[in-house]
Amino acid sequence: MNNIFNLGRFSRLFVKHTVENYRSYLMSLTVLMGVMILGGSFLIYMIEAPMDKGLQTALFSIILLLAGTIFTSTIFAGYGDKKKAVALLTLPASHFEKFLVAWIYSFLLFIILYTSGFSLVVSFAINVKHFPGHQDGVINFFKTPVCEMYVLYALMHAVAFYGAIFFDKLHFIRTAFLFFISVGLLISVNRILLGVFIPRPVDITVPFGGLRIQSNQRTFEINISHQDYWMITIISVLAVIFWIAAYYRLKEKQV
Amino acid sequence: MIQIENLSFGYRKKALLFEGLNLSLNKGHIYGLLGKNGAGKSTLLKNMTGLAFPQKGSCLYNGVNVSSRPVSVLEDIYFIAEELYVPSLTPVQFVANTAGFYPKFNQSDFYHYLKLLDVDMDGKMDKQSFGQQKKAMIAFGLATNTNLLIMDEPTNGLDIPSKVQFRKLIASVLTDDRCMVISTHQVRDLDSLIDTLLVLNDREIVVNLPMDEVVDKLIFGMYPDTAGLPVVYEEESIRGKNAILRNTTGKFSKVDLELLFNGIISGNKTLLEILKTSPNE
Repeated sequence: MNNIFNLGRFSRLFVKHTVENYRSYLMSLTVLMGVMILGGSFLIYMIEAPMDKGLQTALFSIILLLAGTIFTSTIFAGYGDKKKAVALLTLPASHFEKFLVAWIYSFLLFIILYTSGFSLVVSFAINVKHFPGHQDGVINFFKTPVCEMYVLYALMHAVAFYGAIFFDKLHFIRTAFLFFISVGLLISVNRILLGVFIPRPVDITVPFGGLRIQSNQRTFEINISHQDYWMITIISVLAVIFWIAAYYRLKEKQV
Repeated sequence: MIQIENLSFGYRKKALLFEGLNLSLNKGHIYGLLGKNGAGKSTLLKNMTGLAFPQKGSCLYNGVNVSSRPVSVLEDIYFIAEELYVPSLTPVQFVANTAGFYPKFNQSDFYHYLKLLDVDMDGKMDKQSFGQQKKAMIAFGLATNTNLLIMDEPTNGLDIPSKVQFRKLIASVLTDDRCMVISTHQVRDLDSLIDTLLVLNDREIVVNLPMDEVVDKLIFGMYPDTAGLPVVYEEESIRGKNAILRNTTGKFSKVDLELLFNGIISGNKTLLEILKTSPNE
């Protein structure tokens, strides 16, 4: 067990990682806050519209997925640089502990800091300019649909996390490229298969998503019962699979 | 301590660097690993430390396969790579965050070595010269007190006084439990330091011999004329002929590592046969 996880050693690794990287992390957080403040101010003053909950949810989701995956794709950058990789791989800590430190920083801490930062910026944006008759506050981060975004982020994070350890450089671009190609292929294959099973024109759909069938100039929509539940389960399972894959990729990393 | 069995390794799409390589390294020795550029010295060291995985065969450290990089093995091995990464910390800060991973780390030794090697303790390591960075990491590696210390081209970037200090330091820290492997192509830097010679050439270890046995088997010297002498290998120089002779008289001479290395990699069969024969033959 000591070769897999030891609390004392894990704490040392966490502290070492923090001490060696806190400057770049603080800079990244400052840039993210700056982008959100600038973007929020732009929206308030240029669009002349209140920041309702729908807009807040959309902004929260887009920035979470984009900023989170960009940050995550850099988390294993040291393993792509031969000089750093030697120091990282020979450091006496287990692969699991090294994996866990990267996971905590890019997933847990990122979500906490991002959500807190977003909440602050939205509070500022709502209070800096009042729109008569508009009383929307800050969105609830623990209720649907926002909390569902955390599940989607888990999948996006897991994909970016795997890409971060799989590629040696240009992690984000390469992962995003492969991701979009894979999604395109998956949807195409799904449509071909649906065409085989259903001899009617079918709208483009994602696997396990609802079906829209065109027949006699009418559209029929078929949904799986508890579709949201199934989607969340499938996304969660896929996220766990990519995290496990990233762990084994880290174990197999060579210089 | 290190047992390499039938090891084959090659980088993707390239020819094999080693094929069926066998090597055994024991504690209480300083091994000098010599080889031409591109012979695979660094790659062999990476296989020993679990940074590269063999395609065939295995590399064991005290019976444990190093490819899985278990913590128990990593705690007892320190690898100083040719090209180093140092964080933006002072040596003191670096030790505060890293020494805890090595159970036998000795802090006072570390400061003593830094002083001997003349390293600035308060400057950020990444802002210092390459030589200073290397010396700081050598001091750290020695202070870890790991039983296996592997150094790849450790004298690259060191000035002459530092090289002298390095040799003294290495010689002073060898214990019966410790094994050191030093790889270099700067053969002269290992003069009077190593006790066992390893030469890597043509995908295999062609020489693995204690220096005492080299001295027993060969005589090294400068001769105006070598006619009539049992010459095994010679090179012309301004002062005469720099030669390696078969030692038939039991005389002692100082090993000229550079000449010996040149003789070995030139493929001199007689020299290799002499080195391979056991002392009693």
